[in-house]
Amino acid sequence: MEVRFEMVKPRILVMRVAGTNCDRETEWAFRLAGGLPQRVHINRIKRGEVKMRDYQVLVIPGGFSYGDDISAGKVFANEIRHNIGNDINLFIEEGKPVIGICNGFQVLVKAGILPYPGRQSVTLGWNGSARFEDRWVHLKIEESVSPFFRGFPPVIKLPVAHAEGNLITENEDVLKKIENDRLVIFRYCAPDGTLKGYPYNPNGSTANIAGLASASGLVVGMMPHPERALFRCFYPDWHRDEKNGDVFGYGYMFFKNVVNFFR
Amino acid sequence: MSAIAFMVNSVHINNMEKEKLFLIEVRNKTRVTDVFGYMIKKDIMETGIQEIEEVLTSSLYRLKGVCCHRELIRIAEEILIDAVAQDYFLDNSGIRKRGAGYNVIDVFYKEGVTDTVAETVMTAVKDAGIKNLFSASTGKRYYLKGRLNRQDIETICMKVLVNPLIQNYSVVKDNNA
Repeated sequence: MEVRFEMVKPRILVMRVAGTNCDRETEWAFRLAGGLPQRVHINRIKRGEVKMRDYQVLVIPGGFSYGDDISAGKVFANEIRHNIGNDINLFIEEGKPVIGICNGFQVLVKAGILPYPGRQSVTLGWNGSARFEDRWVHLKIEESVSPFFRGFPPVIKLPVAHAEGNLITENEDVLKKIENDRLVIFRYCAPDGTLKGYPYNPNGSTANIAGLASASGLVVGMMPHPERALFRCFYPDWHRDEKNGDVFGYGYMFFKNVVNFFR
Repeated sequence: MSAIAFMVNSVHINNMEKEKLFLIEVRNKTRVTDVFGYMIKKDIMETGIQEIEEVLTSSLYRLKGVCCHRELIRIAEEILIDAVAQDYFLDNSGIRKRGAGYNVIDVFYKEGVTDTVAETVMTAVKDAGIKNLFSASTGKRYYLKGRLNRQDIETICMKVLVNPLIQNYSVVKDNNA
């Protein structure tokens, strides 16, 4: 008799609130990568209708939660802290990945979850250009603690779309600690991988930081949108790219790495 | 923060009293660039007023309720500011802290105009378990530095800072006075 083993499909909680607008794409990306995603409004978790313990991955997708009122991600961050903070802490303690994309990254830092849990030590302020920056950027992949960015080439391209992505650390010591702990997952760069200012760094972010991980590497936040770069044909220059024979984009690689973490 | 000593109508710590009006000003720490101030300065110069030297901006929150001092500080620190990049000031202590040489303009919505940010503030305050706040309204404060006469200030307000259909402005500090 032939015995077949089913691949484990992680259950992925895509948490949304009023103003979240990248939840469907993120859900679709995880499904494409082999996960079992489900979009859930935070109120269902607050009411106890949905239990976080039933999921293996938590994702806070991009968007404009609560209209970015007060500051981007601030109200959502407080809602998490006041209502489901213990659930998220337990989730992280159990070694389950937590991913924040764009607005989700803003939420994670303002809730004091990233990069160091307990209190807020970095923030994402207004872009230096005082404009919403919506375009493709080059990113230099760093040798970070996160397992989700292994196997990537040294420089990749992903789209950004944000007004508040300027990473500011509380002080120089926090920045040094982030660097020493290898928490930077990627940085904005020029096409050749050198770190340069605007327009390569779209928001004036300190040390060109575009994404951070926790010390375990399993909590990650990033300003670029991997869910908008699933296929090569999504890239504006894919006709000119020598590799245009490849079907998948670098965004797909990220989602696949998260799903493969459970295999 | 030393500025917490200032408050509209002198509410005493932990002492619930009748409904009062509070003002909280939120602005960037000095080490964080005020990108909006920079953009507004450019807009002002385009109106022909070249005397403008510097523009700095703040967010204002007018709160009405019977909050005690501790609750007011919680609202400011947990909800309204980003502690890494921003400071807050109660009442008009922020103006004194900014130093001399600035004209100060406050802009608020007219009564009856929907203030969506204020509605979000109320939601966030309730979410934090604070029940003694009854209403909120939001505005902007502009600090203008330069050799500006009254006509210049009025021009700046009407052409750059204010939409007179939905907003009112008041000159809180006038260097010509």
